[in-house]
Amino acid sequence: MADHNDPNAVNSIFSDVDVSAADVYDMFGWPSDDTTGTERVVIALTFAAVPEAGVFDTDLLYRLQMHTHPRVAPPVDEERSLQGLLRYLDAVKDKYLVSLGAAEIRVTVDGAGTGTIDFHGFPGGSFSVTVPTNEVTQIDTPDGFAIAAYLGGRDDAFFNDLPGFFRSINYAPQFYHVPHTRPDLRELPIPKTLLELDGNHLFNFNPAIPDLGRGVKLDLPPGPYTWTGDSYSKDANGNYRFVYSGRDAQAGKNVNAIVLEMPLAFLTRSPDTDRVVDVWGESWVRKAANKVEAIPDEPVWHEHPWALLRSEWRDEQLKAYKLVDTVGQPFADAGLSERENNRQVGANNFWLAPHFVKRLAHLGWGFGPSVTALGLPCSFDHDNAPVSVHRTYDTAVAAFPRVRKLLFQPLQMPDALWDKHKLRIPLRRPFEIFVPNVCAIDMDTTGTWPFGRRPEDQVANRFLSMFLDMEAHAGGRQMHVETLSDQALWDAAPIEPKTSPNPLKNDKDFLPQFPYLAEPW
Amino acid sequence: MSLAAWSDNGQEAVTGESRPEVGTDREREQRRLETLLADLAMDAADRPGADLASQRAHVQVQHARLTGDPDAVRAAAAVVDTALEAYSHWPDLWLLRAELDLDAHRPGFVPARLAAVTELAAGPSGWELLAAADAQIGRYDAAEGRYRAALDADPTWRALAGLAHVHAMRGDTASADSLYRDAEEELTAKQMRAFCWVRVQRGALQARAGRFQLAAQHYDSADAAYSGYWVVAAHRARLRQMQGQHRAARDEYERLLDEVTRPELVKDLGDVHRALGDVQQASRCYAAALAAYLASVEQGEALYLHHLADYYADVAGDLALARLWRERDHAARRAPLPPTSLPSQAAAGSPVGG
Repeated sequence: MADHNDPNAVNSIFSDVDVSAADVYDMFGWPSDDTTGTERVVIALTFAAVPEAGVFDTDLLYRLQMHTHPRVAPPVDEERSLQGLLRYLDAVKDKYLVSLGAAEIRVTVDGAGTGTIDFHGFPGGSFSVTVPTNEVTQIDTPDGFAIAAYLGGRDDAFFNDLPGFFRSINYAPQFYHVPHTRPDLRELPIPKTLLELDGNHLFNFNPAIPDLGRGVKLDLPPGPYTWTGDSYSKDANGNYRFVYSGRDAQAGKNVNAIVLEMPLAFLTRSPDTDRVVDVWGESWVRKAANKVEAIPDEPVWHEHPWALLRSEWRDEQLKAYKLVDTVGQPFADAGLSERENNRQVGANNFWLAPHFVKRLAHLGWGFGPSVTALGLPCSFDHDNAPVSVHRTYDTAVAAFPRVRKLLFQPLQMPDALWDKHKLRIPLRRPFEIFVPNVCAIDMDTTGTWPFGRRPEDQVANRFLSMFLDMEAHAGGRQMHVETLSDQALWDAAPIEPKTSPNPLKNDKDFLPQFPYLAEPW
Repeated sequence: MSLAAWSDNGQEAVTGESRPEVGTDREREQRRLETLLADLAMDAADRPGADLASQRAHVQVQHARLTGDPDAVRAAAAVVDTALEAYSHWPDLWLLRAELDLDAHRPGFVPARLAAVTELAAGPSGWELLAAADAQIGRYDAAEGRYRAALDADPTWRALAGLAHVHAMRGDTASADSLYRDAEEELTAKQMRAFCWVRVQRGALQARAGRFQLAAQHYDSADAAYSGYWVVAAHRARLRQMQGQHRAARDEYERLLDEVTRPELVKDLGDVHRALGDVQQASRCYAAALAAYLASVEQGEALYLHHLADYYADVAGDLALARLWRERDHAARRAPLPPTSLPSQAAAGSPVGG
């Protein structure tokens, strides 16, 4: 028998299971609009509706980590250097290395649909409760607070033209069957772009196959997979063709979600000074060994309404799981980390900062010339390139001068409504947003991105707006995070289709009350 | 947000465990694969192509391995070969074919399969297969080097288990077990069959070291992880045999052979009958096993050459013939893939894109 023991006999290349219930999608967080009673923060983690909306995978553990702190004084504006950036990141890391001292919430659901929520490290102590799924539940904490909780299926709150985004980065698996053995053929070495490239036959819209990338896939044709053109594609009227359609690819889709509305005073004993709530989410999947060698029953799983937790038990619990996915900021993973497994480091992504600089420069050479071609001021230094360029960098030092303005420019807001307490809160800058990779909810704002993330925020357009020069004006208007959502801009632009890159609202209206995300389809 | 959630990347969806079905884990998986094969066959009419052919071939191989039936594995290999004739540019198919070469004890074929498509031998998946090929030929140092390179690039449970196997073959039980444990740590609740297989290897390791009770515990937990898998039952039967529990072993083998037709198990049953003094039954089993071995050789296969060597050494007591079969086994393992076995397009080096 020993001769038959090679491991390939049991599991071939494609049988590695995609643990899709572990794909965490979005992390939302904002101060509750309901100002009656105690000040509260809302957080919502969404993930794949697997096995189905409203039914959780019992092998999964979802973890929400939270950290409250005073608003961090912005770094000096005048020093826009790589060294300054790295010094700032060091200071932030040292000041509050996230996860050290963070409070956390863990959620598991059993086969009967009963959820267990463990709260740990909060000022009032650690405790555990069980709740039904797909129902709004009130949790009364040991220190006398009331938390609203919902675990269950909802409509996907993310509204986005994902095929458009993938077209912009020439991401082949959205359009083609790519061999599993060729991960190098996923993001193809064609310039990233917002405008279709003349002769980019692999990714330009093909009227003969209009649904390519929208459910239809072809086998990846033979290469070459590079682009040798020198201009954007234009129609007979001289209009560019947008890679985006404005259509919501998530319309009609469901997610599973964990939604909690918690008093700020439950999160911190200093709610008057701890005005920022950092939150990030993780998915963990049970290890196979744990499934066989079950840990002894713990009374906390069976007690109700809540039971105190021991920290050593919690650590043992996590040892039985394997971290799969993390989410904090939208696009920190998909746009900037290139979705690599070894970059799923969650909030503590400080070491990725040099990579972010290089990746932003790579994206900038693609998107920057597109922005300029549309007549919009660009924050990326692309040497007035007339068309998008495919360029990569080996070092952050080489890339940094290109992205200096992009990284350091304050992201202008369209109006002053976000600063709801009129505190003149400093505008946030990209380098502050993505490192650490957390959803940082400023309780003195509405929580609109980048001061948190509200469900109605068009975060994809706002992410792209980083490539606009927000210290400049066009058409008499200063660029801001909502510029690309302005239909008038597109009506006047030489482009087809004349649409915002992404849909401007969700396919279902969000609810005015908890759990805020719309009912599932 | 992870991109896997955004993009249908063709990987199989996984359900939770909210809907228990009847039967063993193996039976459920087998039914699932049969349903999947039927769906893929319907899809093939609508959208033929390399990816679909690759999926069908892969599922066919998975299904065949689950059954434990050598004829099913042969049929699956034929499906892979047919797919390669049509889509010789598709690297996934070549990797799958190389795996089947290893199953068939043709490690010498593996380098040529991987060389058929650009880049295939230059990544961790290819290194793992080349390492497994080295191990099958007894080149343990080379195998270890390749496994370690693969682990540096991508620490998969497969590479860890492969390296463990290398240590086991060198007789280093402690290191092997430690590496198998590391492999187990990489496996999640969504990979219970793989976990079961690794746990069985740990059991076999302990059995060879004479720690029968620990081996039995490992086999029990393997069965708890993934029930109904013939690999577990075969190892349990072998353990009974090693413990001298011949009646229990006989019963286990007979139950197993009701489900799985593998000549080496028939030969093992013959050993048990012989130990129990039932010469007639033993002879019947030996004859059946020998016939199947020789039929396999007649078909040009290498799979049972080493079993023939064992047969002639242990059963027939003909050491000269045993040596002859052993030499044929060694030669077959080292034999490279004949160039005529490669589809012409791949032989010309036509990669996906390149």
